[in-house]
Amino acid sequence: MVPQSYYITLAGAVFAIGLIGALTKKNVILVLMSVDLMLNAVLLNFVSFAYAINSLEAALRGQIFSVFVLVIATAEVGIGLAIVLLLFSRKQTIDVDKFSSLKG
Amino acid sequence: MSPENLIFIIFAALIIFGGAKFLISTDTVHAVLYFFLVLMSMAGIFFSLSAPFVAAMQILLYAGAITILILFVVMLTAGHIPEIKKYRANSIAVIIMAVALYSIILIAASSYQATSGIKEIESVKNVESIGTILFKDYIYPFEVASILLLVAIVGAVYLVSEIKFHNNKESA
Repeated sequence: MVPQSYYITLAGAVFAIGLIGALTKKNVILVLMSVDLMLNAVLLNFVSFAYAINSLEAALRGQIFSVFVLVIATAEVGIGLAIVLLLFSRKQTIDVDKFSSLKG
Repeated sequence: MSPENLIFIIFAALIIFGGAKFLISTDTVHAVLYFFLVLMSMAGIFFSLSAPFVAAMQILLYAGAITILILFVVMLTAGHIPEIKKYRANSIAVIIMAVALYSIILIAASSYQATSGIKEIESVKNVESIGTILFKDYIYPFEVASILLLVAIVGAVYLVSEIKFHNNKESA
């Protein structure tokens, strides 16, 4: 059996990758994808902890929570991509550093 | 080495490889494909954690919906980008911060001792029991989630319809 700490370590690695991507990428679409990677790391934590818990009932509850996380991730991507398209039609670019209209 | 460990190592290696290539690839479409690789390997790990329902949802939503949607938007926008510098100026600081965060997680994970686990959830019953619990105990969150999805659909359609109107007005 794989130790629980391996899953936490893997989830931490995916979260760190998503964090690096979200803060360093210039393309808005890639930033959105990085946020999705971070959500997936949380999902892995949910499922692996549900597996480590010793009761079937609790395990299924953990999986249900991860399904809710998936639903919210999907809604986030849908709205996010619509906003990206809107921004692109207004500004003709998808470079995050160009979206600085509120800057003084 | 037990087959469980082997499966974990294979999928974990795929995830790390895909994530690293996602970060360093210059082509947006390549980045999307590596992102897809990460998510599918994650689904494999969910299968090995006896969560076939979550794994199926992951494959359906990410492969069927999100990756295709992202590819569409990349195709709609990427051709018109003049020349984007790949990374923002603060990259080094961000990488240092993320590595620090990761090492904190690593320390926490190495001190975590989980001894027992469910050895087998009956995979056949998995979807059935999830459905039962979902519609018995989590019926209100379920409805809230469906309303959230409805709002997301209407919002996305509204935003995109505004784009069309804008363009028509300009071309007319």
